[in-house]
Amino acid sequence: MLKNYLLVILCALSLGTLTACSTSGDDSSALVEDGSSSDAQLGLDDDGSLTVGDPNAQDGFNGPAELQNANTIYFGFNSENIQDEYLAVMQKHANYLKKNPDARVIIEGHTDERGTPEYNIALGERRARSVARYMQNLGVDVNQLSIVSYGEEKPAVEGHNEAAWSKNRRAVLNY
Amino acid sequence: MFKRLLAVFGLMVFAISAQAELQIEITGGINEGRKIAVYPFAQDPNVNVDVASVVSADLMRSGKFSPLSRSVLPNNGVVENKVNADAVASTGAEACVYGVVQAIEGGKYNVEFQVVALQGSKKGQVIAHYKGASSIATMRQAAHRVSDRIYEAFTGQRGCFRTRIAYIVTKMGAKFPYQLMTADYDGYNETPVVKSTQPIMTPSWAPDGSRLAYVSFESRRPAIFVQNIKTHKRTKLASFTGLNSSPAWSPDGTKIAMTLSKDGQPDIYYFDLGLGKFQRVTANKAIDTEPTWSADSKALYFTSERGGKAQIYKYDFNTRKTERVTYQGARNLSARQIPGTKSLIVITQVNGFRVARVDPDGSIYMLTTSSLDESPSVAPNGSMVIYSTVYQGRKGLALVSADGRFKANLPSSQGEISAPAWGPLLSK
Repeated sequence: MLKNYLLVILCALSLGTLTACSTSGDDSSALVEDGSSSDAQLGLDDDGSLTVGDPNAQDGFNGPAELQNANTIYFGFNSENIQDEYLAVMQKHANYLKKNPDARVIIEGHTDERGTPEYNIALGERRARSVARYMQNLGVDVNQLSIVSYGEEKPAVEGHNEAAWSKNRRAVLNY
Repeated sequence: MFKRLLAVFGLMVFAISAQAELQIEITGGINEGRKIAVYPFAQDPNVNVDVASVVSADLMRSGKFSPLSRSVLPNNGVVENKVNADAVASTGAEACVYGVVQAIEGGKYNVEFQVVALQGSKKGQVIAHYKGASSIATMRQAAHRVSDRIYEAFTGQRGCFRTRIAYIVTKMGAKFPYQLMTADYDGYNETPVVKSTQPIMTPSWAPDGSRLAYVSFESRRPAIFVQNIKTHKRTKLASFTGLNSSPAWSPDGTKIAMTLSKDGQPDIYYFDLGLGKFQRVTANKAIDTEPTWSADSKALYFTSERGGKAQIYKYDFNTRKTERVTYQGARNLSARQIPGTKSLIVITQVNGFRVARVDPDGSIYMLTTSSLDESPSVAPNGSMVIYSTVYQGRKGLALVSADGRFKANLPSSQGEISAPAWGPLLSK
């Protein structure tokens, strides 16, 4: 019983230290308990909820136009193996990155909706890593590569059938 | 006349605004529970919640009861506010519920009800009785409290009809398509918590119901936040390189488990809120993810591919040993201990992905026949599982009782719904 009380006090203390450094000032910092800066725009909606992000921000391909239509590698179910037909896609990006040492590519790993979201975000990371490894083998500097997994959270195609799933099991090279 | 019209209009507006985002479609087990007759309560006309219908719906959803349809209730079942046991017994019901909702001072109403046995030696006896005050605004809660009392009287287990669920609504095309919501367990009183331009995943409740941990992709990569659902203030808990996913609050409130891949591959860690430190639990080349706590907070269940395909493992903090828990089925994922038992709910891969129960002897029972089930979450009394599935071409929530007898879909009126998390039992 005493132990429980101690734990509660410890928790309260730890949260207290997290709040202690919060700054007053503009509205969005008031929403951040630990005072850490947020990369996203924060606000309060009319219904009282916290809003995150800029709805006007563009959410698509940010790389060079010539690579826009060659930026996706598709995968088999529950697999991170890269099929031969996508080697050319990676070669194009590798060439671009080698010519433009300041360019940074973000490899986004995605899965279809089958399986659980928490497993799928791990699988998506494995896909992104597998592409990153291949790009490195093509001579791309490791500092130009980063990976992120969205798991099943950002399907390219809506729908709950194989036609949609085959388009959603993918890695996208973005900038 | 005008006044009356206004009153009717007022009621209609109320009916529309109170329309739950989640509706319910029973898909199995409706006639398998204990038969119970719930009579409409004698209510003050200002009370715009039909208490008896809320109670009926609660009891039915629990999977333990089959409330009779109102159309088959004998007219002489309740005479002068008294249950006529002989009259109602003819329906075959085991018991009869009846109550009144009366105005008292201060804009409050007394909600009083009794449960009368209809069969056997206790016939005519009151087996449960309760009186409590409520305002109009909290009348649905008062109705759920009636259900809780009835449930406990019959099963000896606490009812959990006054709990909240958290879930994610995705409305593609909306300004903020990814929305973290909370609602009463039956979908009423929906409250938006966070709306984002980027995906949100895996809400997990603090055991005191005040905060939610969740994953947000707002910075183009996953990070774990903890947010107070009333003040909206939040703390960034984890934003390491790689995965920051699958947060799970320990039942004792002292730790938050999660999956991080900062050290090379997805492994299980936890943040100790008392020490303010991250601790590593697993170090394995294969995927380790989906940590969830045992009811006593002394062990973690998780999904691992260390044996080839994904199966459930358990790490015991006392022995510091890890053991494999599931052996049957091609793959098993998303383990959740059923409170009060040694059984687990899992997602198992057999003709798709289905909710299943794994008993202590290792045997596995399919609870559903759908194929895209995920994110199971068990009610705090262990009776029901809420999960997401694709139903009629759309992702939405569904309920199944832990014994698999009762099934219902909760199709959404807007968008797709996923990642349900059943909140804690709070009120007595």
